[in-house]
Amino acid sequence: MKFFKESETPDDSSSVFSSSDSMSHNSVKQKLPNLRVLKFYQFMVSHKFIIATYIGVFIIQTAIWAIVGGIDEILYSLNTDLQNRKRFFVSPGFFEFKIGCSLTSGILIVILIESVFYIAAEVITLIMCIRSDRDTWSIKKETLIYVIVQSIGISLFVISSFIDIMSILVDYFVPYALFMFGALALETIICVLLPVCYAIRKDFHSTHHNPQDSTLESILKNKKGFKTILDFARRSYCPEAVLCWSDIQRFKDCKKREKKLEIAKYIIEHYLTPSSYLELNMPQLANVKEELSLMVMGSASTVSNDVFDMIENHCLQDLADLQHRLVSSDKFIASMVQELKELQRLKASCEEKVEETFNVELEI
Amino acid sequence: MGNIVVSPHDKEGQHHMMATPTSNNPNGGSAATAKNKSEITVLLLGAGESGKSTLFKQVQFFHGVGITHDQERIELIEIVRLNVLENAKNLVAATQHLNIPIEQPENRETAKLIINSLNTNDLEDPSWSKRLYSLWKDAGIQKAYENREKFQLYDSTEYLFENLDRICSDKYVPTVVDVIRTRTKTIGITDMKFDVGDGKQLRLVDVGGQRNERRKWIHFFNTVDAVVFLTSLSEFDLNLYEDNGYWRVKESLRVFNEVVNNALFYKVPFVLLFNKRDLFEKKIATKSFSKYFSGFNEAEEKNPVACIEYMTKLFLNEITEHPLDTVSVKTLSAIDHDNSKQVFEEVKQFIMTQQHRE
Repeated sequence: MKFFKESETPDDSSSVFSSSDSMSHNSVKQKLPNLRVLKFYQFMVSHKFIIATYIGVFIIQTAIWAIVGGIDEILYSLNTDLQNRKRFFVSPGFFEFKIGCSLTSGILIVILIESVFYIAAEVITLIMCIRSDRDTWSIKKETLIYVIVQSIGISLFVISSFIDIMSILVDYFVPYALFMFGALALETIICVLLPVCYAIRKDFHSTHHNPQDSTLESILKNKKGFKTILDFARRSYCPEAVLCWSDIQRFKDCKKREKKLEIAKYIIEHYLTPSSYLELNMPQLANVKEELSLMVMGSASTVSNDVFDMIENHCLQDLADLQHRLVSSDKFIASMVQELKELQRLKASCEEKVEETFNVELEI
Repeated sequence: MGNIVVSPHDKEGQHHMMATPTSNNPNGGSAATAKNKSEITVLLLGAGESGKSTLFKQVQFFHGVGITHDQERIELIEIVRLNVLENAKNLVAATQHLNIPIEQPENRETAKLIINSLNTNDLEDPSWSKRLYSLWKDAGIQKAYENREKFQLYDSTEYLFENLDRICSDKYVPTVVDVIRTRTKTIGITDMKFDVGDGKQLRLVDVGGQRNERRKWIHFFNTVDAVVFLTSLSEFDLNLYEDNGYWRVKESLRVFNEVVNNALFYKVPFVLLFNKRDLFEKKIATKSFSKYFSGFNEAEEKNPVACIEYMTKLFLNEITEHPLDTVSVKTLSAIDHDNSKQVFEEVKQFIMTQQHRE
């Protein structure tokens, strides 16, 4: 069912659309003359469309099976010629569970008609897929690989059916239809399982190697690093900066307006209130609290994402001393810091090389 | 002197912190002291920027741990450079705040960059050494520096600016002096242990000094065998980091009062260290001491000994509960290695003799 996945390819345009959502509608219309096309893409990648199509195809298939099989069964039972009566579509019968079904020419016609329809859909979406100019999620690559796998699977299946020894003897032990199912299983692996693995790997790497992050931020964003640092901070009686940092991340990640406001209030109440249990070590805390409270409570619309940036920086600065203490006592953190430094050095030397090449090109 | 461990406290500490932040630590403390009497716990207390961590670092250094090793100091490059940047930022901000223009146009450019975009990695570039030094020497910045009591500035400022040619280089490794001069605000509590002979171990505990940090001190109060209270002599013209309208001396006296008169310390030897003597002597040469203390004889204000005597009286007057014969008062210049070593040795002797008497 490649049909649905292909529609995801124009993801760039759909994100353009959603980001312009906040602009006034008219200006969007002027700026984007192909708004309709974008809307169409938006619809194509929506869950609504994908789920509706799956359910639709499922219902049509089931209906064909029930109607055609039902008619077949009725005609069969109405036939008075008990000797020569035959089922046209499903050969052993609808309610026969003791033996498997086999292909009859009747059912073959149905399958062929259906295939024409699905193959046409596949070809159309394949063309759309090849024509798409970006391949952000490698869907184009996967589709092309799968088309090859699918063709091999089908050819092997068809060829086997013509070789007697395959279709009669081997099929008795190992059904050659497995070529088809093998191709289908490979589709799931190539197009579903592997992309999930890539995503996990990418997430894992990105938490390690976000170039904008300082060493300390990278440690904090790593699950084990965060746990180690929080544990160490607790034992050193200073968990407030770590906890505040993590709550600010929670605040920034939160999409729901009310929840966001709630987290913001929590942060102000717990970390920025003088004499509160988790009070931060910060100059002029009372003023800071007042200022931020105004910004959070005063804003009629959503709370801006960078409200706590200043606090976040302060937390990171406060943690510098703790990080140093931790590096000299915890092997895991020490090795992580070492690794990150190595990476930074590599990055710097790469950048230098790029710059050099660029300069050489300019000179030429 | 072998066996020295720098570590956060044993895991037991953590639930007290979370569960009962203000109650005394019920099992971690008394049980532990009863079990090994051989361990002497010494608390370094005092308000913010009184020099607790500086002394702590010095003790580490003359016991050959921590910052003694190159590897450990390499980790601190970023912190030293961050100090340079913060000092520069604070000075530039002060010129705006105090309405003192930076005179040279190229220094104004540098100032803009410092405020907007400069980060610690940029300081690897040696060209910044010249630019920052030229900014530091700018008449406007120097004038702001003379008025540094009006804003928050680290004591390390002059030292760091004078050493920029070393700091702004990609081969820079902080020296021990750099590390000791660098200001790092301590958060939470940290400690180190070392042997002091007689099969005894001394556990030195360093803490943060700002208001929110002081609430954490209580976790150590009932395990303590001696208290070293530091106060800065040179803070007489300064206001608090946490509250810019509050006089530091008043805060120090208040904290000292609370600590020294705490019932848990009645029987504990108590050392009062007047720190930053070096800075103090420089400061009273140019600034009026008596302006801040109405009871002080103005004629004596250039005499450091008289000033320190006056300060000592001021602090000792706060003692209402603690027996005076277990209180010792000393002056210190924690950035001076030899002086720190000598004073700390004296403090140690004092504590040990008091312990013996007991």
